[in-house]
Order: sequence, then structure tokens, then C-alpha cells
Amino acid sequence: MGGYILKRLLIGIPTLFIIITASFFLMRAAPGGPFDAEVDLDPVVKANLEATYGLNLPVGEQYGRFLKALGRFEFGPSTTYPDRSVGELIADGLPVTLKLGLTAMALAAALGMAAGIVAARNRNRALDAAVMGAASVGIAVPNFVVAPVLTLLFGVYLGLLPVAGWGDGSLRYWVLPVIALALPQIAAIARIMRGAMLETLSADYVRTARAKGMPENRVLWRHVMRAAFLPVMSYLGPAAAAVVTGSVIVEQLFALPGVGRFFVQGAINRDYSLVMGIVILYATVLILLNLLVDIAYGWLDPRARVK
Amino acid sequence: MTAQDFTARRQAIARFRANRSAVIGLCLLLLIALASIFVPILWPHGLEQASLDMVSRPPSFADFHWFGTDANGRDLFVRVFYGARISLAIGLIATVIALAIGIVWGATAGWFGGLTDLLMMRVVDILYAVPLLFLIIVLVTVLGNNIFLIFAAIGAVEWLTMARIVRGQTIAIRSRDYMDSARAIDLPTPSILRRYVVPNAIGPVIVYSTLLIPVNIIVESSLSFLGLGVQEPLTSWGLLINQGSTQLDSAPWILVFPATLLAITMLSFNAIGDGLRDALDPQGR
Repeated sequence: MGGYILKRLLIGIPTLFIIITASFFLMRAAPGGPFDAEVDLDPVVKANLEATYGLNLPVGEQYGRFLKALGRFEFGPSTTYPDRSVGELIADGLPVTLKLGLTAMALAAALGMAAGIVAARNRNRALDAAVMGAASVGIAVPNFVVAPVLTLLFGVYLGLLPVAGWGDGSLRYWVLPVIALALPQIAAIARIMRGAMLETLSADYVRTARAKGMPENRVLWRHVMRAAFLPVMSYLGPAAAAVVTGSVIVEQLFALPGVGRFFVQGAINRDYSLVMGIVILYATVLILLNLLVDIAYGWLDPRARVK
Repeated sequence: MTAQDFTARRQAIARFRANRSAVIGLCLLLLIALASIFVPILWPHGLEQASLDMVSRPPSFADFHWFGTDANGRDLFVRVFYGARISLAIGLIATVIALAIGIVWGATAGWFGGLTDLLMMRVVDILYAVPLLFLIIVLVTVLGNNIFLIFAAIGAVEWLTMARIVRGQTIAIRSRDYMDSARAIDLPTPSILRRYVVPNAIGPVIVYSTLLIPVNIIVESSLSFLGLGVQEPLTSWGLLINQGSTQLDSAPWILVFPATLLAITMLSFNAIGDGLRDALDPQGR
């Protein structure tokens, strides 16, 4: 198990380093700098601005400075929000994004698995068809369509929930964003869970367990669920990536002060440090998450450690 | 083409046609595609034809504003189908680009194996670690906001799964008996590829391509929705949905029509993809 974890780490760390390096040079190669949007900036002013942010140095030196700062968790100043550093912006936005993302993941896992189990236990009956039909729609309809429709229904017509904004951060402000974020993942997990359940239900050891007279509930919890959980588990990595991507859109839609909004603002304004900082943040989070999923998988299923 | 190929193909077509949702999906998609070609040409209202006294009118059949008008008084029907042109075109072209890169990458890695395979697949693994929309946003930020660059950026990012599929197929085919016999009679490599590798690997590639088109349409729509994709005066479904979502309470139809068409398109492509998978690979799930 120790060797397995070490092997996973040895894949994860270089991956992160390559992502950091690649995104740094990609942003530097961009035509148009962060101060090009300003109307007719005086060349002297522009040179001063660039000197302030170290943009006049050779690229190699900029990269060195960048890595050194990264070691201290400093991502440099933001050119979109001149009085704030990227670190501060991320620190501001992260609690909102984390709350949103983690709640959506938990909701997706719980509801998705429940729906998948219900569908599998009612295989080829009306309930199965209904759940799987809803799942197909859930996968096909993107966040940015689901969210406005939910807003229209609960915010405008029924007037139950706020249409947008974070307000004081209380439950009523983030229930719609979380649902919009979780729905596609609920659908995807339901499909995977159903497939895994059906496969496990026809396994020999399940037949054996039933044949020796084990109560059906015990068969389900002891034998079926444990094996059927594995494919769901390995989907959690991609699901996290989808939730992170979705949160960019959902934050924009509901005007939530999360990291995703800063990312879009940064991209529109060609704010190198901000975009880079957030890409690195998200890549780190996802690589760590995938690492956790891999470790948990190896722990649950010893066969995975050997491969 | 041998007789056996012919019956295999006929069987696949028969299986596809027996799949009701796939056939309905195909019909709906053809209808949307035809409308996206002809509506912008034939419709009495022009794409940019705005009028101040027609701002945000609800749908009516009276004066050919079937989907109503938008906040600038432009006819929504023609805009939705013009948007369909751009969205479908980006979906298709980006998929073709992804297909080309993925096939070349995956086939090279699978064919040569060893260190080449290891290095090439490491690159794929690394790119997999970044959410693709982020990569595309970084690319669009770097390359600028040109519609052709958006095609290219989406295609340049979405080839990863294709490369994995093609690599797997190539490795599986490489070790088959008929490959040994082809080499034994000293068939040149291009002929081996054309006659044996491509026909045997093509099934999963077609299925995945069908499923990749809707993904790419969603990616384009997300970008446009965020203001990073297609820009006015052009339009796409994402941009229309964005405009609709800002006036949801006063003019919901501006959102409802493009969103419904997008959803129908997604469901149709998914149904066709599932139908093709069942038709081309009856043993699979």
C-alpha cells in the first residue's frame, strides 16, 4: 500500500509541475499584454507599469521569480484588481466556491447513488425507465440552461428563493446554485450506479449468498453495494472536475463572489497572475482529489494496487 | 468488399433502424440542420433587422415573429436558427480536429509501443488533470477571441479520450492473427493500416465522435455564455441563452427557445450515439 501511494505521488507531482510551467509560458506567449486594453496608454506610463509587475524582465527570470513566489504561496498582484493580490482574491473566493462545490458533490453522490439503486432494483419497470429518462435529460441539459429555469421557477414565479447573489451567505442564497451544479452529476452517478448494481447482482457470489438463504437486505448491503460502489468511486475524480468547471458558470450566473468569477474576469482582462493562480489552484485541488480517490480505491480494491 | 462485410453492414443498419429513439434523434437533428441552413436565407426578417417598437415582443404567428423578438427588437426565430448554424458548425469542426489529432496520436502511440507509447500517453494523462474548459479558456485568452480560433482551441483540447480509444484499439488489433498473416505476405504498412487496422478500429471511433459533437457544442455554448466565445453581431445558442437569462422575468421566451433547441440537439446526438454503439458493437453494453 505504501509503495502504491508513493507511485501515485510520483505521477501527481510532476504533473502539477508541468501544468504550472506550461501555463506560465502559454500566458507569456500571448499576444497582447495586461495593459493593452487601456485606451492609448502613455509609453512611459506603460513601461513603468510593466516594470512594477516585473514584465520587462527576460522570460526565464520572470519564470524563476514566479516559482520562488509560488513556494511562498504568492501568486503576484492582480492587474484587474490593482489593490488586491491574487492570493487575497483566492482567499476571498475560495470559501464560497468550496462550500458550493463540496455540497454539490455530497448531494450528487447521495442522490445519484440512491436513484441508481432504485432504478437497478426496479430493472425494466416503469420506475427504472422514469429514473433513467430523467438522467438522460439531466446529462443532456447543461448547467447554464438548468440554472435560469430553476431561477425562473423558484425565484420569479414562486418567489421562494433569491434570484441571485450571496447575501449573507445563508442557505436560501446557495440552494439554487448547488442544485444547478449537482443535477448533471446526480444524473451521471445514477447511471453508473445502476450499471454497476446490475452487473454485481448477476455475479456468482451474489447467487451463492442468496442460495444459502441470506436475507435480501444483507445480500444488498454486504455483497452488492460494496462492489457496486467502486465504479462510482472512480467517477468521483471526473465528477469533481466537472463540478469545478460547472462552478465557474454557476458563479457567473448567480453572481456569486467565488473563485470562478475572478477566473472569468481575469480571462476577459488578460490578467496573467490571476488566471495562472486560479488554474494552478484548481489543478492542485483536482490532482490531490484524484490522488485521494486512487488511494481509497486501492484500499477498497486490493487488485488495483498491483496494476 | 466481401459479401460478409456487406451483410455485417446491413445488419448494423437494421439494428440502428430498429432503435426508435436513435431514429427519432436522427430525424430531429436533420430537421434542425435543414432549418439552420434555410431559415436564415428564406425568413422574412433579417438577422440584424431591429426595430424599436418591436422590443421584447412575445411569440406570435401574426407577423412571422414565431419565437418573439429580443431586447433590440430583432426576430428571435431567425437568430435561433442562425445560432444553430454556428453552434452545429463549431461542434462538427471541433470534433473533426479532435478526431484527427486523437487518431494520429493514439495510433502512433499504440503502433510503436514502448517508450514512445509511454511518453505520448503521459502527455495525455497530464492534460487530463486540467479541466478542459479551463484549458480552452486559457487558449482563448492567449489566442484572442476569433471564431476560427475557438474551433481550433476546442478541437485542440478535446482529443484526449479519442487518443486513448484509438490507442487501445490499435494495440488490440496489432496482436491479432490476421496482422501476422498480413505481415507474412509482406504487405506494405500503409496497406495494412488501410485494409485491416482502420476498418477494425473505426466502430468505437464513430460512436465516440457522435458523442463528442454534443460535448463540443456545450463547450462552445459555455464559452459564449461566459462572454469568452462567439461575439455579437454573430450569435450562437450559448450567447442567445446568455441574453435570455438576463431578462428571464420579463421575456422568458428569449431563453426558452434556444435552450429547448440546445436540449433537443443534445438528446438527439446522445440517442444517435447510443444507437450506433448498439448497432456497431452488439456484444457491448
